[in-house]
Formats: sequence, structure tokens, C-alpha cells
Amino acid sequence: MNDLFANLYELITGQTDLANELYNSEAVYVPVGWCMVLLSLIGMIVYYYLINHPRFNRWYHWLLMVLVVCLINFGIAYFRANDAIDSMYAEQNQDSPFSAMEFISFSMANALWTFVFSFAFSIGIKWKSRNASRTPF
Amino acid sequence: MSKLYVFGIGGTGARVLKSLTLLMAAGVKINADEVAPIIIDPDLAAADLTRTIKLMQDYVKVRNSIDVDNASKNGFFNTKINMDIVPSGRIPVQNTKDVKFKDYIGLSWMVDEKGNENANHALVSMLFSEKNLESTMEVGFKGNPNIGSVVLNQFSFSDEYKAFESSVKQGDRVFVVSSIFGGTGASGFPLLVKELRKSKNKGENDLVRNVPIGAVTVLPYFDVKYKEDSEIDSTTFISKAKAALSYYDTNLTEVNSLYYIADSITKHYENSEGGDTQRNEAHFVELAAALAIVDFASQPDSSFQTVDGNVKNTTYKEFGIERESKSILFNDLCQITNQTIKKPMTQFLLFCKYLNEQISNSYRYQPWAKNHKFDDNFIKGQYFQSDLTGVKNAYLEWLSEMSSNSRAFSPYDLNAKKDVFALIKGESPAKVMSLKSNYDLFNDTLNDMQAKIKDNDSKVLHSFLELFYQATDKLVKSKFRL
Repeated sequence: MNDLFANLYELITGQTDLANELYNSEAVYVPVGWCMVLLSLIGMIVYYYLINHPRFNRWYHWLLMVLVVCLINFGIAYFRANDAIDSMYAEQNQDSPFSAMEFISFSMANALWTFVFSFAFSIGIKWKSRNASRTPF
Repeated sequence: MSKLYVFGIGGTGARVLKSLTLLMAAGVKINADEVAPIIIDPDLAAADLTRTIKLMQDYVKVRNSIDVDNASKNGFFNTKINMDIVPSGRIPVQNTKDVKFKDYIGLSWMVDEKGNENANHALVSMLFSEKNLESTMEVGFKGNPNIGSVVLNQFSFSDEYKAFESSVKQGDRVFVVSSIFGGTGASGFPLLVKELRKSKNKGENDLVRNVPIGAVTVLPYFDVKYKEDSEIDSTTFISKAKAALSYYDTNLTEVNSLYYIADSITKHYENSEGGDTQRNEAHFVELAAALAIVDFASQPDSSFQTVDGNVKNTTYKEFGIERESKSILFNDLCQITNQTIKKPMTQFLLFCKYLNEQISNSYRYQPWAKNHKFDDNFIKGQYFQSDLTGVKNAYLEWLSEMSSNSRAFSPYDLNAKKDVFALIKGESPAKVMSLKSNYDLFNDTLNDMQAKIKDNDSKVLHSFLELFYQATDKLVKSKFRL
């Protein structure tokens, strides 16, 4: 799983130093990746089957929902990666050498994959929704 | 195929036919395969007549665009209106335009060889006042049945009447709608019945002569304001009605079912002798008169026995309401009336309100529209914009006019904006297990029902009506327990 998620993220971020550290820590890619997949699925289930509302079936309502899930996954990736790297370097009594922008880059990759997975889940599950079966298209 | 011919005579006849057409649009069931409306009115320009004919034409266009097979679950526009027999919808009354009554009967020719007035002239002078003789007839007979009974005698010679006679088949029935207190209806009704019963066009088995005839005669339910130069004087309505009733009692025995309707509360209309200013607001009495047609159609054939144009026994009926009220609600009506009209009228009102207030916000986005080609082409097309919208506007106008008339029929709160389901006065809509309300609940129901609708590429309007019929059926059952 670590390899699978690493390949996904590094497809966007490239093999940076931070990516190597995140891969080696084995405590970031798998939990963040699973969170990304599950939250995307849950977000779409909530949109299509719990909200399932005729007033909220425009494409921008769907986009808003996806962006909220993206934002959540962005935060999860940022703080989880920060914590893991900080802890790793703290054990060696060193400060983390990575800048906030590098963490943001990883978090953006997670948000981007959230969008892709949300879209894919939408295609798969929208057809049985009563009020949003034609959303986003 | 059984037909129910409905003759609407005069302004009241036209208005009752309008009520009948709107009830049929709503889905009130008529126990006949088709209804063939025929209006007899010399007043070509009467607004009530032109409104009714336009409505019937719109109805026919909508009806022609829907499937009528048994598998269809659409109840709107349930009964066919047949305007093929009399395409114009009316039997013309010839030689009444710009002609005075005295010229119509040839008064100036009623002289002897020396040029002196003869006995015929004297008889005419006895039967008709000077005002009668000088009267023009292009806007009707202005409350003078004595003129109408002479002039209307000609309708049986018209091509339209002959087309009617030759189209009558076994199982068909005839219903005549007229008022008793005016000119055209009061004179046309007995003339028409006599014409039917003495029909020489016997066809097979004396079909026309022995056709079951029902009739509703509307007693005074409105009057008109006094106007010095008008020939219509509503103070004579009651005396005319009494005289006509007395005549019917002794001379009109050829009707199988005779319905009476009257109202003690009368509305004061502007005094119009006819033409495009004769535009009376819709009245509950006209709806009740239309229900007489529904009742007549529902009677078994065995209840009508006519041999050689002679009726064995005539049944007489009156319309009543459960509770006296100046503004009638559904709760004031009898159970049988509510059973007939409450559900279909409420369903169709929900449909019309949706078309008026919601569809433009919904059809581009909701699955019920996107899955069934209810797109711009359909919504902006002829069937929707002209025909269906014509019926919808007429229905809302009809309800609005009845609710502001006297006596009022106002069972609906037509302006309820907060909740479309809070529309039946005196009844709170039931709570349903849903977080959605108002038009969101409506759209939710449409989106739920749309999966069961089969598309018909050539008749998109049919799918549209079927979807809305089923959705409103579900909504009125859940919200109003109908």
C-alpha cells in the first residue's frame, strides 16, 4: 500500500526529499491515502444519498461538496506529514529541514487525488440517486 | 364508441361548457368515449363564446398529442373532445347580422293587395313589442325568448346540425345546457328538444328521435345593473323564469333527465347586451351545471326509455350543497360532489401552479426533465407554450373568477406562496416523512416517479402529463389523504 500511494502522490510531487522521507516513515502515505479514498467515498455517499436534495443538485453544489472534502484531505495531509516528519527529526534532536511550501505541495497532491477519486466515485454511484442522478452532468 | 353531444345554448351554455372542459382537463371522468360540444349562439363576438371555443381547441390539440391506450396512467385530459363533427364548435344562426327582427320576419311584406297591414301584421304586433321589432340580433336576443323562438328555428337547416344528426350512433346521448332567464337559452332549449324528437333523419332504429336527452336549465343566478338604453332588464329574470318553467311543465316532456340549478345569492354584472363586452366571470353554478353532465353520463342506459320520440318517464334532479355558505369550500359540498371533483381539481391545480411558479427554475436541472427530453425544445415548443399553457391559464383564471364571484367557490388559496401544499382552505396538509417541503417535495416526487415513465419520442407531451399526473396523484394522497 505504501508503494501504491507513494506512486500516486509522487506522480504529482515528483521524487523530492520530502517524498523520500514520507515514504521511509511509512506512517504518512498509507493513512493519508486511505483517508483520502474513504473520505472521497463518504463525501459522495453523503451528497448523493443523504443530502439527495432537488435544491442542491446543480454542478456547483457538487463541486462545493468535493472542494470541502478536498479541503479536509488537504488539512489531514498537511498536519499528518508535518507531525510525522517533526517527530522523526525530533527523535534525532534535529529540526525539520523542510519548508511549509513542501508540505503544502504534498497536501495539494492529496487534494488533487481527492478530486479525482470523488469524481470517479460520483460516476459510479450517482445513477441510483433520486435527485442528483444527473449531477455533475 | 359512445358519444355525448353537449349543446350549449347562449352565454350560459358556453360558460358551462367551459367548466366541463376544465373539469375534463383535470381528469374528472365522463362515462363516454368522447364529448362532442356544439354551441348555439348568434352572438359571434361574445367573449364567453370565444373564450370557450379557444379553450376547447386547445384541449383538443393537447388531447391529440397524448396516447390513450389502456396502459397509460395519465388521467389529465382523460376524455376526448370531438370537434370533427362540428369543427367550428358552433351552429351558426344565419341572417342575424345587421338585421332588425322586423326585417327578419318580413314585416313590411305583411300587407294586403292595397298595401294595408294584413292579419299577419296584426298578429305580429300582438306578439312582439315595437322594441322587439326594432331589435337587432347579431349579439343575441337580449333576453327576449319570443324573438329567439322564431329566429332559432332555422338551426336545424344548417350543415352543422345535419352533420350532427348523421353522426349519431347507437349508445350516444345528448345533453342540452341553457339558462331559463335570458333570450337565446330559454328559447333554444325547447326548440332543440322538439327538433331532436321529431327528427326525420331516422337512420337506423330512430337513433336521433330516441336518443337519451338530458338537460340542465339554469335558473337566475346573476343579474345585471340597470342601464337605461339596454334591452336587458334583470328585474324580469324571475318572471321570465316562472313563465318558462310553466311552459316546460306542460310542453317539455321529451327530456329523459332534467336538472335544475338555482341560487338565491346573485351577482351584479355590468349590463352588456352582447358582443366582446359580454364576459361574465366564472361562477360556481356553471361548475355545478357541468356536474349535471357528468351525472347524466353516468346513468345506465336502462334508465332512459324512449319510443318513437316519446319519453316513458322523465327524472328531475336538483343540485345541492351540504352547508350554506357565501364562500363555498370543499367542506361545504356534499360527499358525492367532493368524490367527483376534489382529487382531480386539486391534482390539476398543483400541476398548473408548478407550471406557473416553478418549472422555469427546474426543467434544466432536475432529473425528471433531463431524463425525458423535457428540454428547451419542448418547453418553448407549440404544444407547451400555446396549447397546454392556454388550458393552464384558463384553469387558473376560472378558479380565480369563481373565488371572487358571488356566491364564491373558493376552496383554494391560490396565492399561497410559502407552501404550495397549503392550498386547500380549511385543511392542513398532512406531515410526510421527508425533510423536503414545498416545491422541493414536489421535485423530489417527480424525480422519484420519473423512472416509471416510458418515453414516447413522438409524443413527449404525453410522457410529461403522465409524469405530472402520477406525481400529483402521489402528493395529494400523502398530503390530503385523497
